[in-house]
Amino acid sequence: MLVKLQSIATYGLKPQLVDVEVNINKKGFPGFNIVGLANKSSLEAQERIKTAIQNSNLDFPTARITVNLAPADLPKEGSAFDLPIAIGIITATTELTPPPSSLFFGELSLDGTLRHTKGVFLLALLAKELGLKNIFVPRLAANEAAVIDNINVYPVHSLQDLVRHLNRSKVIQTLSHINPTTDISDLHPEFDFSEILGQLQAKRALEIAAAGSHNILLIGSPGAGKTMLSRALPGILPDLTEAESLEVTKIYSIAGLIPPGGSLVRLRPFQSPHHTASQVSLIGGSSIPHPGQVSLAHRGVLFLDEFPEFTRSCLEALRQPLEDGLVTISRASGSVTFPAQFMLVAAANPCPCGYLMDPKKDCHCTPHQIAYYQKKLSGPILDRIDLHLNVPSVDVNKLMVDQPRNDGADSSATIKARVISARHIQTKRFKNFKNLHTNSDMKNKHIKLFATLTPSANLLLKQAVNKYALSARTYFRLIKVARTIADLVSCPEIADTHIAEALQYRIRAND
Amino acid sequence: MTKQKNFTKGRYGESLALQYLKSLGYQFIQSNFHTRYGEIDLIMIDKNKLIFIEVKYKSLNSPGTPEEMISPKKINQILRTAQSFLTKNPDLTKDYSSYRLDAICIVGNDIKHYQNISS
Repeated sequence: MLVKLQSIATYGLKPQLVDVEVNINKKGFPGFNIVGLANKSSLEAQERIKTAIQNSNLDFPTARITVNLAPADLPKEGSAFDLPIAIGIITATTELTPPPSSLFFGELSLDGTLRHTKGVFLLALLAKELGLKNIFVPRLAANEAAVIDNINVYPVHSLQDLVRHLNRSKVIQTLSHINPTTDISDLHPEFDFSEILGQLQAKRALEIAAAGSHNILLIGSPGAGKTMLSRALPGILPDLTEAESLEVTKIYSIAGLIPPGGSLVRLRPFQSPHHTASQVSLIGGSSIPHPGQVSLAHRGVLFLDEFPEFTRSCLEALRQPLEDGLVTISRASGSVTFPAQFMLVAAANPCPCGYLMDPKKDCHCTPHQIAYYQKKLSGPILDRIDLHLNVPSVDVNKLMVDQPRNDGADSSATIKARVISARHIQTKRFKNFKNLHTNSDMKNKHIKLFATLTPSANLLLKQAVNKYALSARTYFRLIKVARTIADLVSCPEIADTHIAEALQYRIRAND
Repeated sequence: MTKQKNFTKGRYGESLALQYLKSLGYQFIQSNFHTRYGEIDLIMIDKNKLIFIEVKYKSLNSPGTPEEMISPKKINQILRTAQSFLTKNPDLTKDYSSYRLDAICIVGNDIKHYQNISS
């Protein structure tokens, strides 16, 4: 008796249809074999499936069971084939028939219930693309699929429930479509901008960075507030648009980072890996490529605290994603491209002791130590960062608890409103361009189209380029930042004041 | 349960299997052929084929099925032992060019015969 069901395997971000063929030979010597380039977690399915079927009060046949996962040349990993194989075995030995045009997906627990399984969102996308009507997925992960319209999502709690559904004694209700725009989780960031005293220039720079999704480097003494400022940043970032949300959810679904019951990712990602992070964890990799931190920060923020402490190879590996907004990972099994359009926020000390530019404390480092420390950040990396910012330490007298708390600082909500209006201008500007969302995404050809400079701004820029010997890339990045500054005041043309402000974030002490 | 008791139970199963196979017209060659790798319970001839037979006996009240006890590892072990039997008996290999691995699983008095379990 042969039964064919369908499921999916993913390679990178690409889901592919997999035929699960289950053959049961009652005359053969009892055994259970899975073929079709399955890795260890799929091969271990045998024991899970056998026990789950027995614990669901169903008969596990004493027969020779052969399972083929086709196409056989596609490497398959993960435990999502448990459900199709189990249903294949059950339908092959009973009079039940699997419904046509269906996909089955999910990992079985020993008691016969289905566990939360990663990749359900991609399954739903593929089902819609191929016009397959029904998908049977674990109940805990079903919300991921419910945002896709025109498919029937069956949230399956256990194997027994699904068997009852197939023999029509108790039908599983399909999940109703979840409108992707309604579900907004209201997670608050750790700090509000109004809680941070002083640091007006840093706040302004972060506002610009958020408005145009520009990369930013904060340099300052220990305790000046670099980390606090960066951690407050999510509070002023606009919420993800629907298109962005779908992109981010795809990556998170593959990485298995959507919590049970969760649906679309609506909050902008904020990833802050520790500086001991390995290159593979940062960029992505392993023999079957998985997304790294840069991809998990797609459309969001990658915050690298203690920037120079990251290994050199990690920092240099950031070059390609910073420039192209994607990472291509090549392994023997094939190459995969993950999107990685993130905003880099880096924080660093100016020297090993940290007090090089401090007005009050003395720096104890030798010139050699300082040179060595600063050399850790290579020119190409620094060149890709639009905004360079010194964060001076705050006068502690102003922070004393008996001081009035209000220095007229804007709250995160106020800043966020300005950022959103600047982003609206950008969305309108780039509406005819795919993959172009913010000013920082602009390539040189777009800059010619969208960044018109007033004559005085042009002159100022020319002088600056000659005086500071700016590189071609820096020149274009300066215009992008100036474009964002102009957008924050809804100015259609870039004026000399905007260029001047952009320049002060660009010129470093040793330039 | 002592080892001795297991041993006599196994021998009892083998005698049941032998009776059964003889009733099918199989011709007896040898029983309990063993090498350092393992043991073959029964070696018989069916028509023009040499048959190596693994016998598993379980009494009615003991847990599990005899089929579960024959793992792929066990099958490999028997195949290796079979190779060594074939090299030691060149006259048999001359007359019988092909061989097969069978299993006889007995629960109580119920005998199940599986042919060709190695493929």
